[in-house]
Amino acid sequence: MIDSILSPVGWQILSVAACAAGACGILGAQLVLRRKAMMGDAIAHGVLPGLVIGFVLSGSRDLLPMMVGALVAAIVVSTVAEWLRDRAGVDAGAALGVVFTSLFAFGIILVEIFARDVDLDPGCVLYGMVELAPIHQVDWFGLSLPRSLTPVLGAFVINIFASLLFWKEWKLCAFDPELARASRLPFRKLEQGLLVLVAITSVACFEAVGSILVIAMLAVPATIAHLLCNRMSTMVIVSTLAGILSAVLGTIGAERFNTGVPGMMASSSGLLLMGAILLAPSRGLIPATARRLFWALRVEMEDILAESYLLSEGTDETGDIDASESREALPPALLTFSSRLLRSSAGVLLGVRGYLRDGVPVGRGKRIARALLKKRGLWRRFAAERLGLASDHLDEPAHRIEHHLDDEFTRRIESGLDSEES
Amino acid sequence: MISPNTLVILLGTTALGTCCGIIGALMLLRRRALLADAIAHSTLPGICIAFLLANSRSVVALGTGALVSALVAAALVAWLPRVSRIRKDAATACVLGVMFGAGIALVGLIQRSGSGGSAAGLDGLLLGRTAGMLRSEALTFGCAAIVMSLIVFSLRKELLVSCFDPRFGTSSRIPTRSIDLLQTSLLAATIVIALPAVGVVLTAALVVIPAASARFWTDRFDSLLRISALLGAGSGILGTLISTSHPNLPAGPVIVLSATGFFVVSLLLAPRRGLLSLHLLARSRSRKRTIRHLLDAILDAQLHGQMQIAIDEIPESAIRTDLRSLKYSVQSGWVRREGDLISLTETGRIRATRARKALEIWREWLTSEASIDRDLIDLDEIEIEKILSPELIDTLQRSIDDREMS
Repeated sequence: MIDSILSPVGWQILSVAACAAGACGILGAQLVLRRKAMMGDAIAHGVLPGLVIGFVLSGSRDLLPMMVGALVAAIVVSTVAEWLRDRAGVDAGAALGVVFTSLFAFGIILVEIFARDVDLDPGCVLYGMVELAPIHQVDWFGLSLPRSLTPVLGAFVINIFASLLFWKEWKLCAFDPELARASRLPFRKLEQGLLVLVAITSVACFEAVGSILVIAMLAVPATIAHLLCNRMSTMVIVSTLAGILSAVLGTIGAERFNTGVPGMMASSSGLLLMGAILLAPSRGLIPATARRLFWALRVEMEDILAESYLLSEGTDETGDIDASESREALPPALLTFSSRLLRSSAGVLLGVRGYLRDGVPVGRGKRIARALLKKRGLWRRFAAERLGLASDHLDEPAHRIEHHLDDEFTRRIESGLDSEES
Repeated sequence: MISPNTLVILLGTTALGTCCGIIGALMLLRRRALLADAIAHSTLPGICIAFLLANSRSVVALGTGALVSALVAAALVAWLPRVSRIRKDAATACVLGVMFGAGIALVGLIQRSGSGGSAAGLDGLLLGRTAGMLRSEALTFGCAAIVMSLIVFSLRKELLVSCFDPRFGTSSRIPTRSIDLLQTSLLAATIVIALPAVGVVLTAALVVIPAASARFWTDRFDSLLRISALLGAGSGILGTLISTSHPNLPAGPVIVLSATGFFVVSLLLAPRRGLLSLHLLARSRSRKRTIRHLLDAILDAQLHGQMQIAIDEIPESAIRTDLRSLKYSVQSGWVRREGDLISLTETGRIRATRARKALEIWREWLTSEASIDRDLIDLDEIEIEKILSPELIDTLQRSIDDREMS
């Protein structure tokens, strides 16, 4: 269907898809922060009766009446669900589920009764027709643009403006709803307004990209951003960019695999999400595991060096710690497989690096062992003199601290302890 | 009157409603109602892949594909919040959106590669076709309902523990994780079986709505399961009957709307939790409060030496403009009325005195023993004389006296 993404047709499809994804991405960040990610799903399904009633009453496929109907339906979804939760004590998820599935069922019945003979089949609402975007063109200041670009671009612009306008208020509502309520902000109106924007966005996107994409684009890019960012500002930007990136990847993918754009957009956003879960710099599974492994190896190597130093030299430089204190290794049978693996790989690494020869630390290994033993002694004195803890009161995690004391901190402990003595 | 065909559908939808009701109740208790929605949507890619691999539309192949993909979705929803900062709701929404989107992409692939117009069959999954239910399908639903009830009945205790106190379960050697897995698998299986008949969204509806309605009627685990199953079955029957008598109405949505109807009825009429009984409770509380104020006002006058009091002298809060509380008190024999003058009868005096004494002692105890600020105590809502037994009042009195002596 799409010859190439670089053709004019490809560009037009991409622009519609990217605007839709960007518009959803901005609002999605707000929903994810409020733990209302399922709201997108609920609204995308729940607006169906509103769309049909708007369509039947106006008798045309104009966007405006359908948009009004959908807005009313979306407000009904959020208000009734909240009311059921707060006043009737229904579980929040169940309340949402009851409302939107009922409305969806009602919508299907309306379609069957009123709109049977016209092409308002639920499939069209589900899949959208982004590939057909270039067929209907409108003139815009001399530029010929696809007709379905207007609503999605409009939604994108409205969402950007609304985010800028209500930035502070939304931030407060997202992170500290209690304070927002107490500080005389129109809390309910702000939250309702957000949901109205979600409804506007989903309706504007329906025609272009279908409701599946709205569900995916409201949730996935924002979740990616949530994994990558710690500030709302960066989160909103990353979420928008992630949406647009999935639009690009989705359009390319649809061309390569000869299938629909919305489905491919959702799939590629899923791949991006997987990538973020695995690779996110601070929280990704792979970097976190690598960091843990690195530290475990380092601790293990330092321990081996210190122990063999004590065994070979008998005592450390100051004479505070002697070989009798060398931490006896647990009998191998009691070690778990992973800790045995860790120990032996640390030993191999030490040998390869030349820090340890025939069980005796040499060169750099000796220096590391001395530094560690010095820290151990300082830490023990600090614990005894400042914290009033006897050395046998320090348990394993406390011993571990010696591996994490940096030079600056060591110096401060040292000078602190010395100044006290003098 | 009922054609054999309708009878088949009726049996099928009843069994289906029962299944969904039971599993829905379990999901509601674990606060996972919307998982059903995510799982239902997520079956699509599995169905498409199974179709591409098996190149047929056999029920077994597609069903297996759907089941596998449903289990993958459930596992992802459980796994994502554990390994990352993604929250449960976002995980549900993401899995739903991505898997359904992938399914739609695969449907497009199948349609355009033109492997024989069969994608129409896949499309039907979105909305279902109850009216075309086969005898074999109805039989499957029946069997599923029986198997499900047996499993849930025999694992009743384990399910109860894993719903309410999984930690206790782990400590008392109940395999909570396996039970968890079993529940999720039951949910996935129910959804997969139900999909062809009622479609993606409406399956989720049948899981969520009867359980949410049943919750209004009971606080007990067993009866919740039973009522939820009954309501599910009831929606199946009612919906099927309505849709067969109106040929224009598709059965699936009508069944869901019947379930919604039951939900609204439960919301309004259920004892204790229903809106009507909540309203009545609030009204009866406020009437009792007015009567207490009335008796107290008359007692006050009597303590000041007036044996009778004129109606206009009683404060508005104690009598209300319509004099209903006065009428009720006269009928109950607590108040004697002679023209505009009213006085307490003997029973009325005892009642008013007891209430006043209990109230005073309780307030005294709260301020002196529990050191609560006098201004913060509002005892208007409670009928304290019913809560405090005479023995307790004596005890409180003694403890207050002791404190004053010392």
